Amino acid sequence: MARVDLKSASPAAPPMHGILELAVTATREERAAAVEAARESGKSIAIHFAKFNDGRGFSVARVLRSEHGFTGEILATGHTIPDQALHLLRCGFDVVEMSDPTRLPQWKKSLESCWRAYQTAARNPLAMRREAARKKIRNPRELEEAA
Amino acid sequence: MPNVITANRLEDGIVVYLGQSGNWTSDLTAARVANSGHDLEALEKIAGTAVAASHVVAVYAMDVDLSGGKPAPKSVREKIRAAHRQTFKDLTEIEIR
Amino acid sequence: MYRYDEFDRAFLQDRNREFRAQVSRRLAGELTEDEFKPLRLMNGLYLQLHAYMLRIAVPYGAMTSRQLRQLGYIARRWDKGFGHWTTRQNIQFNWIKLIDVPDILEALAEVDMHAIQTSGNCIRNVTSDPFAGAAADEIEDPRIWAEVLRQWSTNHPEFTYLPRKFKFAVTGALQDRAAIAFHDIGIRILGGPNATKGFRIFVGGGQGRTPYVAQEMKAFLPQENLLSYLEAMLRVYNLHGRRDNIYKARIKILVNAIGVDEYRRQVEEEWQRIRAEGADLPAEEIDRIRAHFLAPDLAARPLDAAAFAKARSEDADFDRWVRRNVVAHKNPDYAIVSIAFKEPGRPPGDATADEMESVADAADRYSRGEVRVTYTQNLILPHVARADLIDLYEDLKSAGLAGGNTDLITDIIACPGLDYCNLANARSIPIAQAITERFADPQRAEDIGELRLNISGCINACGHHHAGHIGILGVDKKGTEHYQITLGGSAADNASVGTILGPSFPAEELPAAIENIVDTYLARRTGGETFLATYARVGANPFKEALYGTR
Repeated sequence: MARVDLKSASPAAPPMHGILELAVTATREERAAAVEAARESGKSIAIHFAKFNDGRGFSVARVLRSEHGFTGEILATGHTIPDQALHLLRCGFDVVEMSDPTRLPQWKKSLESCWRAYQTAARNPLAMRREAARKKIRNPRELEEAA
Repeated sequence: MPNVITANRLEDGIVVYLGQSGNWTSDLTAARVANSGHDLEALEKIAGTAVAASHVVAVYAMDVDLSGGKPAPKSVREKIRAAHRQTFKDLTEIEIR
Repeated sequence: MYRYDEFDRAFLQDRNREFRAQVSRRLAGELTEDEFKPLRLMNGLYLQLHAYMLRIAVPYGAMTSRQLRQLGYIARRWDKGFGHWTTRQNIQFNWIKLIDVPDILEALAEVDMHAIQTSGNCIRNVTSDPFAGAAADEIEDPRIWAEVLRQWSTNHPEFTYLPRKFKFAVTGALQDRAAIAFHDIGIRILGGPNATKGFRIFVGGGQGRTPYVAQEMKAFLPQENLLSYLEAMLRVYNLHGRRDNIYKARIKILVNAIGVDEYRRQVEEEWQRIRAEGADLPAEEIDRIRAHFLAPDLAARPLDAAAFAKARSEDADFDRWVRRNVVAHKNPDYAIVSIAFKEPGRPPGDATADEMESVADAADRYSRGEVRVTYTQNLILPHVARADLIDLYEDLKSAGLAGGNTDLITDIIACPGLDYCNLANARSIPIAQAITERFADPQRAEDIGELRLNISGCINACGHHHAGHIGILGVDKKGTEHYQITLGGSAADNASVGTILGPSFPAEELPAAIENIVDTYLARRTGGETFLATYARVGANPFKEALYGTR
């Protein structure tokens, strides 16, 4: 299965230590147990999208990062579309298993489709509205270069 | 039965019907009529190709009335679609019934 | 008014570029219709009966004359010369070509407008009080918070694929003119000059197949915690709202299934956990947004009371227009003026490009360039000097927009119905027109008094029939259009859902049935009782008897 790394917008290697699947219906206890197991084994946590417009996976990844403090790899499996790339990245996903591998160029493009955000998320790589009034930020890459 | 196939054209959304030669026409009277389940399957296959080719969307078969010799819409919805109304003042062309 | 800066404009340009590419991919077959549909819906684009329909956001119903003129331009250039004010305080165009949409969005961006999230299973355009910033009973301008919500909800990474659409309304006045009880989340600004400002939050209201009046979620939420609290509310809904049945997917169903207390418990637990995470806006950002909504500096414009009284006494139509369409402003020299789009022959809420330009001109001349859209599908000029009312009336009269029927039986709310809409079971517009013609005598309409009549062409209730004093719902009865009547609904402070009166009527019998209901009310009312008050007092039975006999 072809994978795309959302942070580098490039093809990703298979998870080194395998994956641990977490259902979007998992309870808080089940999420905590999965995080614990993934920490011990070094496995990636995979969240499955039954269909791209079933948005539960976004919230699950988000709480894995913020509530459970998971820092390992989170993988999106199942049906996602390139237009969701920044949403996935911002909610805490690292890697996407592409349901259609021919769409890799589109995933890359989507990751650069928008530089700006109006709200906080698990990851905040984009220029933030609330910062813009203070600093004149054009895009986060410029910010990186300036740093 | 009898049926014709209708859809909306992808690029502008206008109402179209599958015509005699596999073309798509906005004129219902020029639509190709299916008189049997077998005929309809053949038309649906042609329509499926047009969907796959991103030419039309929202394809379905609709009942038509052939008593006037040419296919005419039966339901209020299809009468409205077939009328291709152009302005907001000509709403009364279809009587409330 | 909120003015875009470099950030907001650049965001919109990115977004429009993205959608232009999505349209190209769709036309090239790189996106299936199934995949494209949510993307186009999030940009306001539906496929209707005859064409695509583009719903353009008028954030919280407020726009400038320049923006209104641009809508007129779009109507003329890319549509058939008219548009439709919606019950979400937006405008929609009914004859749009997919291939033109990227250009239309660019034309909108020129005036800082867009069609983002006017559809789809995401947070929709926030609605608010059309009198915001002008109302005499206002605690705080609700547009500040509606704008905070607009920004927060725009392209939200976590809440763009919710179980179902999600609607917010905000009110900042003593009287609720935003129908907050019929929203997924309703927000009421609390506080006074000396009190801490905060919000009272309601949840789970809505119309549609299963109408509910919203329940209280939180009696007092400090203003600075708004976004973290909403994040918790939306997260619980996103994770637990039903996704197996479109008719059970709204938050009202979740809240009623588990109970508002259990929903609140889950939200509070999540909120306590996340409130320090930084979702809330810094005070300086709230202040930045607030600064866009400072009260306008209105010059003293004393009214020549004698001349005004004389004009009213000499012209009954003008006099009625003043009675019906002119409302008190917080500045006594000024007034809030309603412009009706409901006269006989007009589909309720439809406006031509010429009319949009006429209103834009009037707004420039008399209302500091500000215009509002109401959910009752009319326009508002919020800051008109009373001394200008005679001139404004004359201008509106020459534009054919001087009808004086606000909140009367002919001020009908109606969805586009089966004339346009893919979901409709029956037409709304011809019904509205038949009723408008029947009650066309303005004196008679005024004698009947305040009466909200709302029409929906299907159970999705875009025409707010559940909240009509008289509600009409189009149904399909064996292939013919029938109409069910409900009585007693209200979207005001004591909101209620109307009750179905009895079996439905075929279209041709409906106008007479409505007249029968009105006559029954007139025969029973005492003193200055409104229709709703009489209905509350006498109940449904006299109306049932009048319509169906005593069987």
